[in-house]
Amino acid sequence: MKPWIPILIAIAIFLACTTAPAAASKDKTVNMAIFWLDGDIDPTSAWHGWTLTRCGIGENLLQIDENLQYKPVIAERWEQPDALTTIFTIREGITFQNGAKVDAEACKASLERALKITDRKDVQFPLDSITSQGNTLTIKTTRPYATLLNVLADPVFIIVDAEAAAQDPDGFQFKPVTTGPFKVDSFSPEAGMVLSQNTAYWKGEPDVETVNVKYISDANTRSMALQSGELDVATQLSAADLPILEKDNKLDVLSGPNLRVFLLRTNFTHPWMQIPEFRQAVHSAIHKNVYAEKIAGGIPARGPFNALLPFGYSGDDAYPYNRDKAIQLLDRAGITDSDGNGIREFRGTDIVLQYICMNNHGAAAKNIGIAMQSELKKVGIGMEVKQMENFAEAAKQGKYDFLFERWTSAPTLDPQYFLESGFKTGSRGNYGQYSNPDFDNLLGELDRTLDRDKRYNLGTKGAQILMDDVAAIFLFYQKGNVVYNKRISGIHRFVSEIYYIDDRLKFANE
Amino acid sequence: MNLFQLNKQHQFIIALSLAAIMVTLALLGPLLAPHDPLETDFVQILTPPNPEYLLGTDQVGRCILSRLLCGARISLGMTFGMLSMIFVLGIFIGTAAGMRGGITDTVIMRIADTILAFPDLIFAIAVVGLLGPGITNTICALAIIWWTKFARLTRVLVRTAIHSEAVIAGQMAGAGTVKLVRHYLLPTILPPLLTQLSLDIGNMMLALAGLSFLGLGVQPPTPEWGSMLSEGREYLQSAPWLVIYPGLATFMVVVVFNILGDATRKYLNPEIS
Amino acid sequence: MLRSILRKIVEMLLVMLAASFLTFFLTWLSPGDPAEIYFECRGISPSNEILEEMRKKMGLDQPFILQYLHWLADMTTLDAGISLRTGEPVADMIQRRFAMTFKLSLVAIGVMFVFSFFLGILATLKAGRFTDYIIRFFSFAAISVPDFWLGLMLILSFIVTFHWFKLTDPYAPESVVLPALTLAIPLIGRYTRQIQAVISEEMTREYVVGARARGCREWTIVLFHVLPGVLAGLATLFGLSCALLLGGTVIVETIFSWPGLGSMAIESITHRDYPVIQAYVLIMVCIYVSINFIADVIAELLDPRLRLSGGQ
Repeated sequence: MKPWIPILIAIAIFLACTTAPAAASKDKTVNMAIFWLDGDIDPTSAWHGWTLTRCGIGENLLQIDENLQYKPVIAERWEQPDALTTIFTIREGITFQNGAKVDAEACKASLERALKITDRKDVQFPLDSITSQGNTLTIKTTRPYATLLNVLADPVFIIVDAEAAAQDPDGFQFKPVTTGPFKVDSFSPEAGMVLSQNTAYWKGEPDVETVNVKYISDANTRSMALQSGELDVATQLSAADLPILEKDNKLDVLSGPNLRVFLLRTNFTHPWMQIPEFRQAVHSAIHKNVYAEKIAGGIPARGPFNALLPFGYSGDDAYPYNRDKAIQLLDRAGITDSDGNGIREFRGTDIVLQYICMNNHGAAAKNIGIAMQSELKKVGIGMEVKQMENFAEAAKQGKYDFLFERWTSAPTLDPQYFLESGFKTGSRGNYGQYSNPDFDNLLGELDRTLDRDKRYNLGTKGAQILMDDVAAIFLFYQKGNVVYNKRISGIHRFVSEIYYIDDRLKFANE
Repeated sequence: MNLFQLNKQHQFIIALSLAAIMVTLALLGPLLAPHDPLETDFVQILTPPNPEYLLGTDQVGRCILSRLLCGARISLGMTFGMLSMIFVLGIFIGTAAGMRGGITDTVIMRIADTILAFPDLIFAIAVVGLLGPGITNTICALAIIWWTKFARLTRVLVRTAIHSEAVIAGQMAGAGTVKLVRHYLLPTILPPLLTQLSLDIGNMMLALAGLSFLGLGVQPPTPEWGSMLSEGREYLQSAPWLVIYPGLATFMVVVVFNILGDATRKYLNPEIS
Repeated sequence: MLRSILRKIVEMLLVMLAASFLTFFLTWLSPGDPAEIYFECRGISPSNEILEEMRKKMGLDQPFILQYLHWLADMTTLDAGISLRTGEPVADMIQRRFAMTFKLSLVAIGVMFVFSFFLGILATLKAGRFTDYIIRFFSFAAISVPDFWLGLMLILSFIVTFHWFKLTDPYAPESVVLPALTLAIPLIGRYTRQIQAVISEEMTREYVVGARARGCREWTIVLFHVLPGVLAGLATLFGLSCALLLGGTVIVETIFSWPGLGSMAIESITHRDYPVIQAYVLIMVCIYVSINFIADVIAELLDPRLRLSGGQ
């Protein structure tokens, strides 16, 4: 018996594993990563439609393009003859991926299906009636509804073949029948999707035959896979990895602000938080700009709406960093450290603030807390940083001082949604119980106003009130990024992050 | 290689001093640390090792070396805390079962057998997953499994010792139970138990660090090695020192305690090996 | 023999029952409300009536013991309920992911057996020589290395630096190599030491001395005389070390984004998806108990002494 036989066997097993056939020819295949995927891809449930728009599977009547402009898609054009009516003309010659014709009737069925079964409250609109005739689709609302077009651009209202959905609801949630340049061949909640080209696409056959959509939740993995050539497109890469990716000759990096804003909601139910000087002092004690740029890799926020938006704010921050001023403010408010332990007291007890963030807010959320903790200590305020799986319970019970929140502050390119759902007196999302009559009046006015420019103006004013009151500390706007291999082209970075690839996807050498 | 050729006593002394150095480092950690482990330096975020920060800084500009030194106390403290808990519990229950015998013995051993049939880490994951992450839950979960090991060993040792001449002589001399245990039993059963203990330290440290790595144990920003590593994972490529050093530190400490375990076994139980 | 196996089966079932009770009890103790979590995962904040209705639908309004019995009855028919996060039947999720964990563990066990037997035997034969020290050094390092760190270091070297393996395609056959190695190395260290200890003890026996006197080569003695005798003991040891393997899969799967049961468990923990956690724990306990049962039976079959004395 030769001693080396076992080791030879081991090596053989090893080689058998390693020298398995290389990946199939990927000439006409594009590998892309998505960072989020849920159990199914029916656009009407939760945010699942985002997967369909991101991968060029589903299309709406109209969409918002990379420059934040309306783009006619399935609807060729539209008009609004009066405040309650919108008339869409459906483009001729579009078919669903199963060959069925897309006409006004099909669009009507799709919209009605979405309105009926969606669990998203924010996309419901005051519908009066939908009527269809040939290629004309008419939507009437019961009251003037300024953001109807924006809502219809939401992925919930992707035009699907409602008939196919009704016939095979179980199959439909994994292989929805839509109109986009790519269609779903297979779906797995763990692995992702395999897409093939929709040869009958209305803008012509796509250049790419197959798209391998890989679900990779870890940003680090996405970055490594881009460098090794395993991935052709990926998004939401970690800011720390961007310099490495930029140095890579075969990759192109697109980066810039998106519509996400990260903020710390203040809890007004705590007596110390009701003191304006205290809130201002906290705001002045922290290097917000450093957190934004160096820890989160984003852009320092000035209020909830970033400067990309027509109602964005571009002035100075309300309470910029000034440690001496923070100390003065606290002293003036009578919040001092009388027992000499380095922490100021409020009515005899040390102030130890609770900072709460969620696991899925990412590392930056926790790291900002840690940095704040260290800076607040220098002005004599204690803080504990807690990261939870889910903070709904803590939020409801008010067991926090700062709640880290992530918002797409203007999903429909309008200021009302954010201001109202987050900060109106008594609204459900107003966990901190912020209340300011001036702000509520402004919201009332916003609800009555139809004129776009006036609405934008009111939005800016509302944001200003929130900043002045420190109703929240607006930390940073996220920088979105898209990185792709130069062997493909036609990749655009959408500010909305709702679209990653579309019919423009091509191989670069052609 | 020389370590293997030394005699058992020397090996034991060397291993013990290595472990002592580790423990001293851990105890003095906060004094030795060049910076405050929680202090953030915004100018130097994710800087590679340099003369000011010998092992570099992390994602919020904290000194890794200082965090490692201060984290040692937490990592070791956690392990030793849990160890003493299960050691005392195990000996107490094991002795009770062994001395009493009969129904007490049967019940305790049945329970121990059932618990031992659980895979330890999975049980910890179950407890932490269902009751919520945190170091107390983790330690309790692991302790619930691991005391049985010591209880069983103690029981076997007690049963053997009880029939030994020394104990019978003690009983004849009219010693009470407490005295009997202290003077006659403990000296006999302690060496094998201590051996087992020293052999287990490394495993326990790895288990605790692993659970912290998964986010189930120590919660950040506490500088524990496993959780430092898990925080640093995101920067594996852009700042590998965030991952390399905490892992290396864990590795070194576990090696030292495993060496100590081996040396103790050889020294206290010369008949094995 | 048959009686002892029967007794072991009864014991095994009792442990599984205890495990099921324990997991259910822990869930019952846990602070979260499944009905609320169900809605939270969908980004919906429900009214109290809707919550109440959901609780009723989930059977949460019943007394503890009834809930447990219902759940147990469902479990025995392999119905593990619905995932709170995705709304998918838990059994389907587990079915899909089980194959991946199975593949990973199987390769790891294979690698472990080959290497640890080889190294263990080699170390015994070369006792006191350089090879022995190298092997001891390796196995010492292997049992001391944190597996999570080892995995990350393997990624850093073989994927980031050398691009030898792919990260994003766990279904490709070669992708199993690094995770399996990470899982196997600590086990190899442990098992090598155990094999070496068991075999070197046997080597002092008379029959070995006799075989040597007859002029048998050392390798022949180990493989054909010693090994068959100690396999029974090694089978039992292997069964016990499976706890480490099962725990290891959680860490390894998390590091390598391996879509198996372990990563599923961690994802479910972060989302407090209780039905999935429960099912996971129960399955793992059952696997562990079954492996040990099989190992015990094999040990009895292999060891004539155990067989004759009826297992005791």
